[in-house]
Amino acid sequence: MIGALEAEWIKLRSVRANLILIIIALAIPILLTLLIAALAPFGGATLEREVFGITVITPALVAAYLCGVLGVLGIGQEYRHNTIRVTFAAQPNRSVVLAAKSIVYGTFGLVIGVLSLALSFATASICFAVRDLSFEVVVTPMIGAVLLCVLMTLFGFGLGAVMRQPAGAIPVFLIWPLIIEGIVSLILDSVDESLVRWLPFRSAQELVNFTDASGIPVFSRAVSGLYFAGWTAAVVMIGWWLVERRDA
Amino acid sequence: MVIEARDLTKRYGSRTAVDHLSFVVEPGVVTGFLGPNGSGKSTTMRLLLGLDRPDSGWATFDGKPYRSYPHPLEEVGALLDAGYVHPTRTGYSHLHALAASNRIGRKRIDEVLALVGMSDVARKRVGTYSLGMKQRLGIAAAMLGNPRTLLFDEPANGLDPEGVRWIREFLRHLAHEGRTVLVSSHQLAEMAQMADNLVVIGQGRLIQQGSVGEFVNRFSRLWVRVQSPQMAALSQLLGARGASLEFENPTTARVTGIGAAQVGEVAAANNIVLHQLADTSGSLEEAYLQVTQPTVEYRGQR
Repeated sequence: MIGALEAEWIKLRSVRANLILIIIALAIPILLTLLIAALAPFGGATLEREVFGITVITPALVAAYLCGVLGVLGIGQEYRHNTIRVTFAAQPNRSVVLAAKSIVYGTFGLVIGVLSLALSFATASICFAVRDLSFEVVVTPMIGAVLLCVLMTLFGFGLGAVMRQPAGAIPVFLIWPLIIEGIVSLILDSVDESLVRWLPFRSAQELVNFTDASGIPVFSRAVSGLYFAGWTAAVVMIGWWLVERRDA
Repeated sequence: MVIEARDLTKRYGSRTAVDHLSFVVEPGVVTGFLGPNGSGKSTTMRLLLGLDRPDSGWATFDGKPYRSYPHPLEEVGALLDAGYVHPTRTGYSHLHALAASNRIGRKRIDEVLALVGMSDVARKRVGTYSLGMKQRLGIAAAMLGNPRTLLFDEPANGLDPEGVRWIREFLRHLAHEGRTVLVSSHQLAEMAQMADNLVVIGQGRLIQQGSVGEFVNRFSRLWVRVQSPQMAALSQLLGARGASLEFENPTTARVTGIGAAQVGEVAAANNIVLHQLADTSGSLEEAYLQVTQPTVEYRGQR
């Protein structure tokens, strides 16, 4: 297992697309934070916790989605370039390879989440100090954002294992939450607004919720997180089963 | 290490790629794996390595399936396709990841890179490599664990003539060291110089397994080449003795059904001048074409 972990770590850091993606996943949230913290006209009515949430936590959602793309690439690239055959010839126990990939990419999602938040926090602190704005640090949604980065990475990894080709899996991964769930939630909302909370990515958003007010009935943060984790586990397990079963 | 395939069958939908294929590959010799395009060679290689699952049958290395080896690179090295590399990864990183997965030290990476003459370009991205360089990288990867058995699928593809000669001598050297070497190739001239034994397949089925000599003897025709300025008279005399003639030109014919000695005796008895009289055996290429002709799946359009 140690060998498989080391191999996956070498593979992750030796592909250009991964390195570019990691840089983008860290750079975009900082830029967003910088823009919001420097320019947003936070009025007196804005709660201090909302100032913090909008400036530091919301940009981390971009990092979370890019973590998911990294997860897709973690296995999708192997199928795209047929290196999966070389990988499985070197380690015929496919579960060992998949476990190593899950651990390496999941850890990377964690690191990106922590780094992204830390950098956004530092950037916002400097801007707020200059603008003489006060804000309230809310820790729980920050932890939720880091967890979301990990879960999104693993969700992407599972989807990549199911679909194999990144050209198909990446659009599905982005269209599902951003478009399909948007449309479905409109339909569900017209029937019964409490049904919306059953949409996995809508539920995942509760992990990073920093407002007290809630317009629609949702699960609590913990239940929402567990619910999305359940979806992630299901996608990963289906992908795992398919990889074990299919020809490489 | 002995490779054994027994009753291997693989279907993709309604197409049968490998059809109840059985063969044994012995150590110490180069075994050529011959067959026309689409005959199932690459599929068989993947079945041997457990990458594809057979619909029936099994394959073993020294009696154990490939999947049962925890560090298989130390037992079996395989070059399936030189293109199975990520284009933006360097050659060194490709080997480094493979070596790490089997707990092989970095020193060995430098050794195999030197072995295939790739030390200078190992830090460049694979996307910048020529096909020949990728082949050499694939061979380096196969040699990482210094394995007792090597499987090479078309290793000479993309190599220049010097590279082709290098791979031929390299494979013969490996076999001479007592390793088991199974190599597929469509380059018959190369195979004739390289292989000791052959496994010949067509449409996924075994056609022949044995030595190159046995294969040529069994499947190629034997004839007598006769050249004479009095070929018309000679052909009548030979025809009367049951021989059949195939003319290459008015003075030269391929004679079958009668031996060279008899042709000489007939000519002498009838005062016919001979300019050439030679027993001719078929080549590996001729034998191969004859035996695979009915099984060629993808024939070029004229």
